[in-house]
Amino acid sequence: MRRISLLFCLSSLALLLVYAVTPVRDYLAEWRRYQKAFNRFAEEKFRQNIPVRTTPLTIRQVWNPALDVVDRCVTCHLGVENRFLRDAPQPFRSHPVTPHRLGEIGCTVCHRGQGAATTVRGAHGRLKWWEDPMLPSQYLQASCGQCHPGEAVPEARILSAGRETIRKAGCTGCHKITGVTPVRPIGPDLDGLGSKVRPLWLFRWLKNPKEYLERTSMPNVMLADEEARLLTTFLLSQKAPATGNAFVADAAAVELGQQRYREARCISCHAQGGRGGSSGPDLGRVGGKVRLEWLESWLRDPKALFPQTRMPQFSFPAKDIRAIVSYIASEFSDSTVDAQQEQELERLLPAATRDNLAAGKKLYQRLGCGGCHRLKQIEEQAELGPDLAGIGSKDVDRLDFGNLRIERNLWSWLFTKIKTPRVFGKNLKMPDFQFSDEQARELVVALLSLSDKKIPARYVSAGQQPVPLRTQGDFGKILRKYECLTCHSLSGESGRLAPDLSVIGSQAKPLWIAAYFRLPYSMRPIMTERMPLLGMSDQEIQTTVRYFETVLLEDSIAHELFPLGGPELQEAARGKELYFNKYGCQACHQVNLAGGYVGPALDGLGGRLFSGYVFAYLKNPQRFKPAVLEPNYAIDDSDARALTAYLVSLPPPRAKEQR
Amino acid sequence: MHVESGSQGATLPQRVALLHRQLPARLEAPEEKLVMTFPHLIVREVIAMEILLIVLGLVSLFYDAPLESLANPNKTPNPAKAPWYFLGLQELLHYFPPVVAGVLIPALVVIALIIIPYFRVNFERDSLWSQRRPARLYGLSGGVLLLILFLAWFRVWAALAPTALIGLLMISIFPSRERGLWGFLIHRTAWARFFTGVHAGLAGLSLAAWIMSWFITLAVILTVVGTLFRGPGWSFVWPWQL
Amino acid sequence: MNVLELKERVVATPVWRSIFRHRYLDSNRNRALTVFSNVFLHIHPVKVPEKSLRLRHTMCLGGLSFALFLALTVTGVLLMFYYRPAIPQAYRDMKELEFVVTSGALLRNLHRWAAHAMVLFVFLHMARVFYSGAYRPPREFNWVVGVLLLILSLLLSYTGYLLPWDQLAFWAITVGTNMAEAAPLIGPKFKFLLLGGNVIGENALVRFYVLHCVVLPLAAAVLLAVHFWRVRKDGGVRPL
Repeated sequence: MRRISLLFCLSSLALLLVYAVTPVRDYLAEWRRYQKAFNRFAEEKFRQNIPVRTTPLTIRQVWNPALDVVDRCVTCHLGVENRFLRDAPQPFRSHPVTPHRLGEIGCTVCHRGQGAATTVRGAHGRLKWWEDPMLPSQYLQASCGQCHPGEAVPEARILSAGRETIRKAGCTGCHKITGVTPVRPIGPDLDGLGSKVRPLWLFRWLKNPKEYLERTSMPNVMLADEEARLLTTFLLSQKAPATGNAFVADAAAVELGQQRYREARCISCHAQGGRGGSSGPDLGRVGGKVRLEWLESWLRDPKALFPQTRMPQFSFPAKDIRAIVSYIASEFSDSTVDAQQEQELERLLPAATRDNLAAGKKLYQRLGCGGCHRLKQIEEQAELGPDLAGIGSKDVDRLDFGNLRIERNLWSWLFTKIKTPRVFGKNLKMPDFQFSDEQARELVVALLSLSDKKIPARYVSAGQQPVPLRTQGDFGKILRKYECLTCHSLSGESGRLAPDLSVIGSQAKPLWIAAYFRLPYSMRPIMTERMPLLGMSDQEIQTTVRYFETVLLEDSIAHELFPLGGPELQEAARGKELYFNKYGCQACHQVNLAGGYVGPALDGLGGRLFSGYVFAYLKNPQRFKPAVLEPNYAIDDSDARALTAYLVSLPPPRAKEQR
Repeated sequence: MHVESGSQGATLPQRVALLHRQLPARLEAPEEKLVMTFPHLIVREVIAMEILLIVLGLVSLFYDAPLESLANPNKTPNPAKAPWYFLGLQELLHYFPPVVAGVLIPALVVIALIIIPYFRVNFERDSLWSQRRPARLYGLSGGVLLLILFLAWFRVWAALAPTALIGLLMISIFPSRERGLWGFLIHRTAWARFFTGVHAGLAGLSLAAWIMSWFITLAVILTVVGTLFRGPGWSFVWPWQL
Repeated sequence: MNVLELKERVVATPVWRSIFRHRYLDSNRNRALTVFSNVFLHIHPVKVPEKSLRLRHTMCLGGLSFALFLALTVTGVLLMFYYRPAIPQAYRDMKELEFVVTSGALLRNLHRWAAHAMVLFVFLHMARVFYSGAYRPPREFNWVVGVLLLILSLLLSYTGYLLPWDQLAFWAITVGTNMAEAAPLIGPKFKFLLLGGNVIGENALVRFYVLHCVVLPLAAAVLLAVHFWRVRKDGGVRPL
């Protein structure tokens, strides 16, 4: 019995001990240690007169049922909203400046991880059974996209760049991507390609497009030589119904062609060997690409051959066109191809038999060329790639990593997939876009933003929905004929190269506009991309100017600030004083060839712009051009008026400087 | 009812018990030493309970109960496993159609367990080979062989191996008369006694005990295989590959 | 006034006497009365054979199974304060237990491991009873009750398995109910009844919750009472 009694005593004691450990363990919880450390830290800061308050030892959380957020991150990250702790060590550092109310939206909406956890390991979420680990900071902007869907977010540069790349690279050709309206077709129509390009160019293009044109959005579809030749035969069989007669270059006309080429400022859009504009393709080696008879009909009427082209229709006379083609043929030949190579290819190309064409067509479909290009004989294809909705929340277990040894998480997978699309297995179809690492990272961010997270409507940014542009009638035809929106924008849509035209009627004087159409010149001393000489007819110019002065107006701006006869000399003189001494405008602008190069020259401003607009612009330059560099000096009314008086009375530039 | 006769006063009193066939066999135990429940039994029970709670508490302090990610009907784990005590059945599901493994076998097991105390054969304390030896030899060898053939037909190797082993063991002790090494091992050694709980060792086991042992071995082996040795697609893996 | 005197006076009060009818355990009579007049202890006889005190005799497996049942009841009731049988709250409550409830993780661990242990102990208890031949008449009915209790233990554990609503729970129950579905004729109906639908969803969760927390524990408690009562009536732990 004594033995039993002893045993009873011992086991009772042990029992007590074991169950006494638990409250001790609770007391020693990780978060308590952090809070105690914070309190010591806070007291030290307080002694240095930095207002940091200690915290009672308790679990703190942000609770937002609408967002499904219970975030206890603030239990340890105690300095998140204290701006005095910008340089404090983690986990006490304050959050970088953000427009968002952290106390309301919590942390995991952006950072992901396990908000409910109160341990370091659990919260940061790299656990086997937690599917939503924290986003690395380089991909953090993905979270911006959850509440700012499908729009450019200026503060989230990486996200916006990624979205832009998605749009431009034509991802929507194969994938359905929420928030990105499919731009289809992104590539040119391929009907009539056989009449346009030379076989050797096509073959080499199919093998590696970037070799010919660095900036092309066409990806490398990774064809074997055999396949590329088959596809070449198939595409060459797509002849245009009316091909012009063989073009014979006229050596005598080359000089005229060069002159016309310069006058039309082709280089504003087409670079030559890398130098020049980027709206159209580089023409440096175009002689090896296109057939000259095709080029001739293209210059005559680009839209007849490719309705979606952004190239304006220049009204060149037939003689000039022949001269330009001759010039291009002589100047822009491709030194990397020669006749021998062409013959070699001709010999190897499979014959255009019915079987070969059918096989070529099948290959065309299998590769998904239809995602970007249209071909009349092939019906529109459904999306070839998977729908990317919710890709940002995709379960890692569902990703096929093949036998690649990379980090098992979503972003590593996406990055690798974008960089090397076919690395995870056989029979993958995605072509290689040859994105740079930076582009790939931007794309990963944009893709990660397509998460499944349900965001209540009140947190979703409505964004700036551009008013859909509807320009019909004669002006609409002119706008499309000359592809004005390749460079200019109207109501926020399209080009970014040239000024916005939304309120041009309140800005520029009609007479000046008409003159400018007839002979464009550069406002700014340093610019490569300039308004081309389009060769508009008088009728077209009249229609355009009329449209400008009746429709594209801003009612809050009076045309003229000053009574008839212009500003008083006294006021203009005061304005000159202000211009040179108070505001120092000459640092950026030129008057009479003296001054800086950043802004446009101001000579003859009065003949160009309405004084009312100049005044309104000086009051707030960013009102009309949000991205303009001109600083907002918060000029008061009387100064602005005086400056306007001075500016509009500046004489036009002397004739010899005028181009 | 029983009749006590004391005709011969000089000798020890004798009892003649007349038992009805239906009467359960029950023997009045001779006087045994009794102790007070309190504290003798109670304190032992409390100690056992405390030790259990200590072990449980320690396990709970050091091993967290599993909690995987939120249930997702669209994401089937491979393999999807039932709780461990059903994995024997799930292992059988791998060999037999669901109606057999999931319904028939468990129902049979439950019924078999329930009816155990209602069959006279289960009350026998005599060892397996103590009576009707030839009949039992033929019957049992035939039964074991049939079972093995059946299991082989369905390729239930995990069940076949222990069945064959136990059958062999059962039949191997048939000729034994406590002679030789084998006889020594199964009759006399402490391990055999401890293992079987029967004083006579392995040879002392009754038929019912043999069958129960076979069932328990099978249940344990199938459960262990199902729990530790089954991976994706219910393929065989080693426990450390799980 | 020292402690002993105080104790003496407390024990002498009518209130104390109304709760504990007998005094010190100084005599065998009082010791007997302790067992006899205590609702919890009276499942035992006043005296037991000395032999049955030996550990080997029962391995204490039945008693430990009951102890586990009690531990599970206590931890289970505590867990019920924190648990909501709803989707997705059920899973979230598991996380709350893990991260914020004081000793919540321990509570859940205890419940989980005790549940596994109970299945194991009940099974071992059954094996022990079989090998010691304790199912023989007149205890045959108690053996049957014991088998039913084994099945109840399995069902208790199984219904509890779904409650955390994690992947493990969901798919284990899926596998289990699919097995039940294979039963001829009644299988699909039974599965529908059990799940409250054709798939495992919130209805199934509520049903499993009610079964786990109310129906099955009550049934087990009743059968346990019968089981213990029969142990006494059929002759205690004496060997036959």
